[in-house]
Amino acid sequence: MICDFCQQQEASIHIEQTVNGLRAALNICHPCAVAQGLTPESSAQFNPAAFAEILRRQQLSQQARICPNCRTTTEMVARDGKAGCPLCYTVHWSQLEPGQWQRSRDWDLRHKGKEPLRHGQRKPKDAAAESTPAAVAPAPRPAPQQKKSSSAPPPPPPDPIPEETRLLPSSDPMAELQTALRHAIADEDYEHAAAIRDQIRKLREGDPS
Amino acid sequence: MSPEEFHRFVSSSPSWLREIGPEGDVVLSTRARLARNVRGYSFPGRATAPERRELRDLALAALRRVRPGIFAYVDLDPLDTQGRRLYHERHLLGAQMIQALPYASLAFSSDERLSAVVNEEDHLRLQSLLPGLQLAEAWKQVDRFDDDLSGRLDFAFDPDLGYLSACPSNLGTGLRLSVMLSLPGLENKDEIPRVTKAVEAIGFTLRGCTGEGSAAIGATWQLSNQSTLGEAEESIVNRLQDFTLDLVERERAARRDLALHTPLVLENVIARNLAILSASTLLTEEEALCILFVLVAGHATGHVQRLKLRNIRSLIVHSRQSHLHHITRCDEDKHDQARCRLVRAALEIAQWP
Repeated sequence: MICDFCQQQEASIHIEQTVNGLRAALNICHPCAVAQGLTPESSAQFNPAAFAEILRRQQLSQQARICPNCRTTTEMVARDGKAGCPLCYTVHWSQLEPGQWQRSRDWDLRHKGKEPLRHGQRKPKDAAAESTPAAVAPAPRPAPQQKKSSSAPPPPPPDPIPEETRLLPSSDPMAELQTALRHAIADEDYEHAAAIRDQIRKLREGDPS
Repeated sequence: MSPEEFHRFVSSSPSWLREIGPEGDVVLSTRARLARNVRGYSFPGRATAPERRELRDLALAALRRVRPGIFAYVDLDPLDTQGRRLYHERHLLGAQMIQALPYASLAFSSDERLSAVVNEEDHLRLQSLLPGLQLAEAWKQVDRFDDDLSGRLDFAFDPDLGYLSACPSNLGTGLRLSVMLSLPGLENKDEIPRVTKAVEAIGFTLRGCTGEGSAAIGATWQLSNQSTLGEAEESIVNRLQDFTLDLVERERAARRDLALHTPLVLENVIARNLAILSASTLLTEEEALCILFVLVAGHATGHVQRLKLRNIRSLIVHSRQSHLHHITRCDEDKHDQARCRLVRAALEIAQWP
């Protein structure tokens, strides 16, 4: 296996770590391991703090550039002027300078106009609890108590709308924020999603790479 | 469609083109188009073939549920370029769809006024096409269509960016409105550059009638909104309606002015085009379109009353490459000859000399 760092030499050190059930792996050649402070030149000892730091940097840079859903990178978006999937706007939007996407001056504007109707919609998680069919705006989670009135007509059977099957589980063990963001978006919890997006922005700004 | 139905479809012309709508002396047709995408699926240009297939099946199922028995469905996969071009010529498909990726489909109502394309640049493009100036009605049609679909498909939406689309130029409402205009008066009075400036100043664009980046032929232009973000749909509809009505009045004034002061100018243009038609033995697609649009304008100004407007308008579709191919069944190298014969026969114009 080739070294993750120099991409040239054969990796002589392979490290695997499992955090919260997620696996992280690093393949590195000896000179690069020494250069990264992972191991002293003369011994086979291993510095776990340096390893954690390397993983953190790797994943931060990946988070910043690759859409977890469609794997489109920021560079691809800038080059083609097109997003790969709806989630790309969350992932890449703040990464791009104005002018990199067409009509970037529009970015100062906020959407005005209609929103998707949600009537008849059955979100997989809330399907049982959903009882109001005509909520125009994304509503907060339905109240726990449900009307059990026998006179009310039964709600129509749920449509076979598939779950968010395309949102693949992230392979990055430390991409907790991205995962949380995707879940928030999938749940239409936009306030929470915006808060997470801000956290990601802060992280990126603090990241020297 | 059965072979007979297909033959009827090809040899008829779309009602939005054949009929004369409001302000029909200047406005030929109105189009409203909405870009919509389903949350959780990659956009068609980035999606894998299985993803596109899954999305197509999902979208077609939704279309069948919200408009049962209304649409004819066309699977674009088995069609060659000539077969796809046919739908492009009827304004049911964008030009880029002639080379579409696999798992693309088209659904359209029998009068072709309401249609949907699956797996174009976006997952769904919803379209309403109406004769004359009917922006509010066209918007109402796609708005309702969109509402019904949004109950069955989870459309990707962001409170700040609006409806999410593959190209950021469609963010926000995803609504593109356009009107096809015949402006021989303003063109002859060299007023188009001034009109273009006014159009751009308020965020609209004026282009040649056959779409992006094309020059106007036969004094026919397409006016559309440029921006989709930051302005509500009704506001775009109203602004475009007001501007178009203003343009219609200006065009009528220009025609009146020409008729009063230089009555021979328009007559000359039309006479020359009729002469070309009767003296030619070959006619390219663009030449035919140019002559036909001039005749449409000439009909509005009262110069070619002896020709049937319905026939002229139908020829705008029937003289196009793929329609000609399906109607005449002749080889491609004989198209120009067949086109010339077809146009002349339909308009009952005898050959020169």
